Amino acid sequence: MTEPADLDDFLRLSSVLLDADRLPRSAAAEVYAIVAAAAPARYGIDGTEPPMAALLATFREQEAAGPDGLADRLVAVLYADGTLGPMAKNLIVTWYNGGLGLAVLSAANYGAALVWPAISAQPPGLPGPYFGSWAYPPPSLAGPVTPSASEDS
Amino acid sequence: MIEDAEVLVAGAGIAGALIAHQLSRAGVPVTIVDAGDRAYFDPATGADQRAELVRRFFTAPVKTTNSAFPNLAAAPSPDEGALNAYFVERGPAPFQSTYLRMVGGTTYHWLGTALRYTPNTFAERTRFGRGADWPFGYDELEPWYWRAEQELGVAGDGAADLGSPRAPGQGYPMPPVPASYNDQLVMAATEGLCVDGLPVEFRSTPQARNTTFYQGRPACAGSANCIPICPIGAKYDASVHLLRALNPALDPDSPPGARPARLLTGLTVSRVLVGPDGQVGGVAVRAPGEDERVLTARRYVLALNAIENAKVLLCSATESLPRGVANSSDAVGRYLMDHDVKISYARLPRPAYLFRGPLSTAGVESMRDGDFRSRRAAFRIELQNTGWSWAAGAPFTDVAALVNQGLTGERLRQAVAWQVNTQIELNGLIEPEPNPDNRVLPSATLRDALGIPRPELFYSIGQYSIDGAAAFWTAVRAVYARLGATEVAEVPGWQGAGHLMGTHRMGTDPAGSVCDGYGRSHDHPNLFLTGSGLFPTVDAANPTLTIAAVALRTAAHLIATRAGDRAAGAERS
Repeated sequence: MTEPADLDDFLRLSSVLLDADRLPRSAAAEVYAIVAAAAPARYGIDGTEPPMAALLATFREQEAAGPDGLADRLVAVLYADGTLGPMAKNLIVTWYNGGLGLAVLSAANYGAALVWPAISAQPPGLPGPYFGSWAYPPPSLAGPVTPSASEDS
Repeated sequence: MIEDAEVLVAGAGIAGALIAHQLSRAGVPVTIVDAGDRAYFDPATGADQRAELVRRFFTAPVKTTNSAFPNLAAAPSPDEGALNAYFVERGPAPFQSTYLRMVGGTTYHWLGTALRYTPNTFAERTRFGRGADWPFGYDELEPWYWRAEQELGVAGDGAADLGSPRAPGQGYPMPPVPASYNDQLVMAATEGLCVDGLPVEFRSTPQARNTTFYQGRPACAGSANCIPICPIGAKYDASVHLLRALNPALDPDSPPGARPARLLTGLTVSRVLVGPDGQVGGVAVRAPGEDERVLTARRYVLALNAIENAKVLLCSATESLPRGVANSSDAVGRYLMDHDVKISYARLPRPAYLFRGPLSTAGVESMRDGDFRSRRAAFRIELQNTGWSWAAGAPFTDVAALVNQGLTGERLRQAVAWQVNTQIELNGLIEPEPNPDNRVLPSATLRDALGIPRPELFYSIGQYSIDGAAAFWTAVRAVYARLGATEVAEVPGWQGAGHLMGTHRMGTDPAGSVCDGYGRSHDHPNLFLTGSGLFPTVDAANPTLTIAAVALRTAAHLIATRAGDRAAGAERS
């Protein structure tokens, strides 16, 4: 798949929204394509700009203002926008679920879906981890897991 | 006419594969014909070729039970993604179970549960005044269950009482699958629980899933993908016996004199042809762009599955057999059954660490039998290791919901971990009462790409099942209470279990059944039917081990009666 010119911007945006480093580049190109395809044809009423360009421009503006509170500022700006907010949400869902609706990542990037490590599981169908592993709580979740959403609100 | 084989087995699923393998071992010339376009293993070397299927699963947008497999234009498989694309559903309830038309059949996507039926299932008419009696009892089938457990490679706890007695000293060939963390929570919480006078005992499920190296296959590695496809072959599928039938050199127990079976792929059975002497004289097969061909043998085994077997027999009607082949009883296609499924789910107060290991490793077998069966359906409870996957599309739907609530970054990650890992899903497999109006008919107007009628299905849920579901609901509420679970909910309506049963029932009375206890047609002595279409009643347990046991018994009968059959054949000619 041909890399879009602004894939680096998309990767940095993804890292901020997901709070995740080392996102695989080949998967990012596919997520980019899925999110772009699910967006409206043009940004805004009578707009001429592709929504992905608007999304990444907004990200670069916030990024230029410095790293402090970047994620919160970014979410506040994006989620206030009826086009860019849903695009950001689609971006997160696609990274987590390895697809959006009927659009899915290629077989090579099947294992990149973030939902599996988030729940301390492996992507189903990739062989492993080992016989009997399911009898024990996974090491990464040995401590209490709190429903942070409800506690924070 | 030159015969294609001594025995022609139509259908390369588990029943056909086991029978072909036994015949091959006995040196019987056997040909297997299947609609699937190819095998996913190399018969010459034994190399497995499922990687292609696993890749297909990875890129399937909807992970249905058939999502790892090709859906062939020349032999369509029903799929949950578009149930009416092949089935012609006539209701009133949808028949929701699917199957795979491919070499190896539906065992590629089965869960692997390998339970025996309870003894009373074989005498439900006598014992409870419901359904019908089988032509043999549990004691007759018990040694065949034992053989089937060896053939499939079942892991289980031989000391556990699951209601189906085992002969002394005959444990399972492999130790049980370790209980998941989720199982352990539920087992501890439900210790001593009784509902309606019945114990609610969660026990390790006997399953055809390796816990040691067995038949050249590895132990389960916890790939969490039994359905639709185990990526490493730790779960049994029919390719094991097909391979050994096709190439006895790869069977470590192959006796001298074993004869390789022949596999014909890409041929869809369209009709069974009966001669003026009442014997089957051939099976008509079709392939895209080719004229219909007739395959001949001395004896025929129809092993397509309960829906396709019945459809083909009914499609074979002629002027002299207006009801179809093997159908003087008018029972062919009738008594279609599934295990009607109820899905319940709830939230646990602590994480159970799900989506790890086999998809289900424990269940309740202690509520599958009792005097209540004269009044309401029995059920088994299956504990899922995959949270609300079936109930609500977990974990993907949880992600979408939490993202829509505005969560991002680390807060999202923690919320997903909590939300998914605290789910519990208990499913009820409910035993239906056989109903002659639940049936398969070949569609009079709708045909597949080869011009073969599509199966038209008439299906309903009876009061017996509805009353069983009410008892299931009482039981699972008690389980959830013990667990301190909240948000207890039920998925509305009914689901299918993937079990196709009852459409060519066996019995002792030719007026009320299609074949005898060996699957031999009452009408045509050289025609044998196999698979769960034979079952007069279906317990509340998954049918595959019983399919295998009955098929092995049929295979032994085919071998034992071989000489007599040849003499009879010589007399006729």
